[in-house]
Parts: sequence; C-alpha cells; structure tokens
Amino acid sequence: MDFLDAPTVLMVSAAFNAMAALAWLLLAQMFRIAPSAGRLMAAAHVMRILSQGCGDCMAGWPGLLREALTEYGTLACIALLLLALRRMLRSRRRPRDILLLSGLGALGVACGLVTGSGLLPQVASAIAVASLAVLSVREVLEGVARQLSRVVTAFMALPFMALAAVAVLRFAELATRTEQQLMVGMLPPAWRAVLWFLLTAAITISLIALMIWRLIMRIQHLMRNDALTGTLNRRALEQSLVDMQALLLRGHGFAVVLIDIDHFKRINDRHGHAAGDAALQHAVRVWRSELREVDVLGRLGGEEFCALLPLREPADIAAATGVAERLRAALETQPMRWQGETLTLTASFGVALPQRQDVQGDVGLARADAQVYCAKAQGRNRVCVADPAATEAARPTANGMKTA
Amino acid sequence: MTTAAQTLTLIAATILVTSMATMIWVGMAMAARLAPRASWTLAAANATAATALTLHGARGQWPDTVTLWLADVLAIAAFALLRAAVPAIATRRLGWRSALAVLLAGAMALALLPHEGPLRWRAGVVNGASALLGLMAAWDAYRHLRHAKVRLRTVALLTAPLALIAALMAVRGAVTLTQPGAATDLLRPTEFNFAFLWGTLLLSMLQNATLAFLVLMRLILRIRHLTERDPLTDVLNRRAFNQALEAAHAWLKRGRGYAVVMIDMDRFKQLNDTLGHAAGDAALQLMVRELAPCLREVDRFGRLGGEEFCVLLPDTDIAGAALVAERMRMLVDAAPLRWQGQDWPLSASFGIAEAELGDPRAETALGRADAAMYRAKHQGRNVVQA
Repeated sequence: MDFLDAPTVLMVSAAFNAMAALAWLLLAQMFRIAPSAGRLMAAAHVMRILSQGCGDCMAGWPGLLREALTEYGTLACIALLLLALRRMLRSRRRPRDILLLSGLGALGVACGLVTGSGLLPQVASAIAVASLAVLSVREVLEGVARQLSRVVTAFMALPFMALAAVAVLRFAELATRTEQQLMVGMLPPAWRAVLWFLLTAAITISLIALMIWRLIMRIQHLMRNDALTGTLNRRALEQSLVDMQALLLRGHGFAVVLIDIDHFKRINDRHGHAAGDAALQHAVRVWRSELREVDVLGRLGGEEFCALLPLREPADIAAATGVAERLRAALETQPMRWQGETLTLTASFGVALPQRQDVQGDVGLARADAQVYCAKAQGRNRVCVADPAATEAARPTANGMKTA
Repeated sequence: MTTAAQTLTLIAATILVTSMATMIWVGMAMAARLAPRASWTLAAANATAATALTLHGARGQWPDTVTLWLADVLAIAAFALLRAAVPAIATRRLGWRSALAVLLAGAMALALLPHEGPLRWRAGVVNGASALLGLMAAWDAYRHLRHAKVRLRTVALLTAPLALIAALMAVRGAVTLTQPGAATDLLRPTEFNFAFLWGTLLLSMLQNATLAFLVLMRLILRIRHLTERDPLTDVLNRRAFNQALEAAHAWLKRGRGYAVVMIDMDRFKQLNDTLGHAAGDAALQLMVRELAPCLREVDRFGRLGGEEFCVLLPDTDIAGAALVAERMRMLVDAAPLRWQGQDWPLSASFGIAEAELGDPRAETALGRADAAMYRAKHQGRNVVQA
C-alpha cells in the first residue's frame, strides 16, 4: 500500500466525517428526524476528526497535547456513538455503564500521560474502546434482531463487530511490543488510516440504515394503528381476522368479542368531542390491562371495538365469555375522571366462535355483532354469547344435510 | 508539490466512496424498497463511475482499448445514469431518452477519435458530454422541486451539487483543450488534477447525500400524509381539520371571516346494516369524490368521524356557504351508490354557520353548524339548514 499517501487519506477521512456530521445535523434541525441521536452522531464525527490527527498539521504542538487529543477524542467518539445508538434503537438502558467504562478509560489515559508512560494511555483507551464496541454490538443485536431477519441484523451489527475486533487487535499489538518500539504521536501508516476510514464509513452506513428502518417502522405503525387509541385500525383488524381464520383450520380456535360503548353519543353531546376521545382512550387502557399479549384489540370505527382471543381449547366459549365478562366489569368499576367529574362508562359485549366453515372472518364478526344488539336490547352493560350449537345447527353442511 | 501518491489516493478514495454509495442505494432499493427505480439507477451510476475510475487508474498497465475507450464510455454512462435517475426520484419515471441520446453520441465520437497521440479531443468529448448530462440532471431536479413548491433556498441547496458537478466537468473540458498536458491524464500529478480530484471526491459524496435526502423526503411526506389524512377517504382527519380550523379562527380577528359546512350522510347506519361495512365505506368514498369539485384550493375538507364530515370555507359568508352547501346537496343526491348491481340512493343533511367576531373558540361556529345540521335531519333530511 505504499502508493497511498497517509496525510491525504486522513484529509479524505476528515472531509467524510465533516460531511456526515453536517448531514446528521441537517436531518435533526430541518426534518426533525431522530434529533437527539443525530446531534450525538454529529458530535461523534467531530470527535473523530479531532482524534484522527492530520499528518503534519500539528507538528509543532507538544507531544502530550497531541497524545491526549488522540486518546480522549477516540474515547469520546465511541462513547457518543454508543449513546446515539441507544437513542436510535429506543433502548431503555441507562447511560451509566457507558459513563463508567469511558470514565475508567479516561482515568487510565490520564495516569499514563502524567507518569509519562508511552504504553499505558494507548492500552487504557484500547481496552475501553473494545468494551464499548462490544456493548454496541449487543445493543444492535438486541434492538434489531426481534424485528428484522438474521441477515439484515448481521449486516447492521458487522461494522460494530469489526470495531471491537480492531480495538482488541490493537490491544494485542500493544501488549506484545516493548516501550522502545513505540513512537508516541507518530504519523499512522497509510493502511491504518484506511482501516479507520473504512470502519467509520461502515458504521455511518449502519446508522443510516437504522434511521431509515425507524422511519419505515413509524409508517407501518401509522398504517396499522388507530391514531386516537393506538389499537389496530379496521383494516389491520380485518387482516388479523383472516390470519386467525386460517389458523382455525389447523385447529387453533379463537373467539370474537365485539364491544360497543353504551350511550357514547351522550358523552359526546354533553361533554364535547374531547371527552368522547378521552373516554375511548380510557376504555382501551382499561381493557388492555385485562388482555393477554396474544389477544388482538382493534377499533372498528366510532365507539365500536373488537377483540380476537386465541383459545387454548378450540371451542372453549366459556373461557372467552369469562374474558368478556372481565372486560365488562373492569370498565364499569374503573370510572373515568373528566374535568373534576367522575363518569362511569359501560359497554355491551357480544361473543361468538367463528366456525371452520365460515368462508370469511366476517361471518363470525356478524354473529358477534348480533349478540351486541341483543345485549343492547336487554338493557346494555352485559355480555351476550352466541350459542355455538345453534349456529352449528342452522348451517347446512356441504352435502346439504343439517348437522345434529 | 503534488505527488503521484496523492492523486492515486484521491482516485482510490473516490472509487471507495462511489462503491459505498452503490451499496447504500442497493440497500435502499432492496431492503427498504424506497423509490426502487431511482435507487437501482443511482446504484448503477455509482458502480459505473467506480469502474470507469478504476479503469482510468490502470492506464498503462492494462490494454488501451479497456483503459481508454471503455473507461471513457463508462464515464459518460455514469453521468447518463445519474441524469436518468434524478427525475425518477420525484415522478417514478426515468429520464432515459435524452440520457441515452447523449451517451450514444459520445460513444460514437469516442469510437471515431484516435486513441493514440494527444488525447485532448477524447477528453473533451468525455467532459463535454458529462457536463451536459450533469446540467440536465440539475435542471430536472430544479424544475421538479420548484413544481413541488419547495422553498427556493432549499431548492438551491439540493440542486447545487449537481450543478457544481456539471461546472467541474465543464472546467475540466475547457482545460483539456487549452492545456492538454495538465488534465488529459488523471494520474499525472499536476496541480489541476489534484484540485479536480478533490472536487470530484467531495461532490460525489455531496451529490449522493442530497439525492438520498430527496428520497428520505418522500418518506417524511408519507408520514405527514398518514398523520393528517383519514385513511378511508383521504380527506383531513379530525386532528388536522381542527388545526386548520384554529388557524382560520386566528385570522378572524384580523378581519378574515370563515364559514363551516357540516355534512352528515343520511341513513348511513341503515346502509351499513343492510349492505355491509364494505358498502358503507364505498358510500363515504363516493360522497367525498362527488363533493371534491365544490372545493376551492383554500378550502379544507375533513372527516370528523363516522359519516360526519365538515368543510371549512375561508373568506366566505353565510350566503356563500349556503350556495356551496346547496350545490353539494344536489351532487350527493344525484349520485346513487352502485352496489352489486343495485342502486342505493344517497343523500346528506347539511348545516352551515358563519364565524362571528364574538366566538370565543373555533368550535363555537362548528357547534352552530352541528345544531343546524340536526335541524336539517329533523326536517326530513337531504336539506341545507343555517
């Protein structure tokens, strides 16, 4: 690689980092995309420029200053990168471990600089960088793996793995060298500059990919979920119904619970649309705490909701009725507070079991809907259940005979 | 003093950057399915540029046909692909005709010109064609962005890299003709080559970044659309409509009045229960389609929920609103829903109200329109009430 010119590589790298920092800042300021992560990334890129050196532009500076800039800059860069990564992935982890690791590294570097040891600062920063890089690999794997395929996850984590590997290699290299061989603050050879440039670029690409992935997830969420209550919207719920109907054919039963909030129009007329919205949100909050993770809750429109409950036993309508009764009781006993007033909400529930012969999920939905009307007619705030035997009997089988 | 290692490093860095950009665009097209046509074309443009530069860098080591003719044609092809991709970002249509024409003309000229002795004319053809294609791309980007009503400053910012690339190639073309020694061969460590290579490197980064920005902007606009629009009928959702109403109300104190028309489809529940939810959805969509021609650019159309819609008419008094509402009523009445071979008559009840200076909030006028709409319902539906 002797045809490459190290100072030029460093300048190219500086230009790349400057441009990346600018891009993140622009995305954060102008379009409000990942604002906090973007600012952290911009700071990380600036730190990279400061820490990478530039050939002979700092030739006249004291060696101690140059060394401190290199080691602290590198540490700060990777710590900022990890913080940005956590923001980007919405990790709930506190930054305590990052502060601890980079603080220990910084302390080691300081000790080395004060004692005048050529080796210690580099060893300390290499260890800190390696451990921070390992943390970032874990972060990517945990944050992305659940939602993306293995190949994509591997591609996203690869640059961070390479960073960890390079840091470990550097540590090994330092450990096997003697003090005399080290020339502190020397110009890095061209290949080392190229390696770091490649790493920086790869990590930048990985983060851009993460950002785009987040935007796409946001779009998917907006398309699937009801904006007011956060439950599935009607289109997404109908899709779930189709999926579950397909599972029904393989012996996994489920129940449809249709819910209609009682006297909703009255709330809207008396207390205004804002109260109506709050009531819907309140009801969803109450029901959510009563439902399992596998249950699906969606809003069909207005004050009408639907819950799909996978059943352990294929035709266990009693279990589904129990859940519906629990939902009904929970809403009744947990009134909503609205501008100092206490409003008790109730709802009418219709429970039905979709049958294997139902051509579409809508049939089960219609049966549950009929039960909601029945509950309304019986005075509201109650659960009505479609009789499975009756629906079974009323349905002609394929050869025109009625089942018993 | 420029050394051979410096120019080679810069060429290598540009090859690296364009290869990386190729990967990013392929990723955009495959994994994220973002503007796939434009992304694939841009990936191809970057890959072609990287190949052309690699071949150029191997001059003297590999056969001349490859390093001269092919490298030159590929250089023009890279710009042609760039030129084709730019309109596709906004319109999904590639601008390939003009790009192909310039590419073919350039390739023909290069085939006719000798590749021995002074190479100034070959270099002139390559740089001239590239500058022309770059200019076309910049012009296209400018036109599309202006058409999309983007602010002039943003437009300038986004089209500048393409324009600068065109300028850089044009300057190089001029220099190859006037001082052939300094510029025909990129590998020669002249001051001009050094400056040109830095320009190429920075601009290729910048241009890829801005184009990626434009693609991202599509995503952002999509998100904005999804948060503001009702998914079924594509009119404003209640939150967005309320925002528009608040804005209009703020203008009221400065002397610009507004009126609201409340629209409620008649017997919607009956339709839903008889023909099913799908028919109900279709009826709402049909009504929105029918009402669209009554709206001016400044009017705002929103769905407040269920079968209830509202139109905000800025700079309109009650008489104007009554005219609009009456026309809307007739349009809805005249367009029945065709559902599974049968016609189902549609109609709607309308309540109109004009904002008054004393209204404390925007919702006050909305409340009056709502009350008027209820009166219309009680009068037997399919009427306008003030």
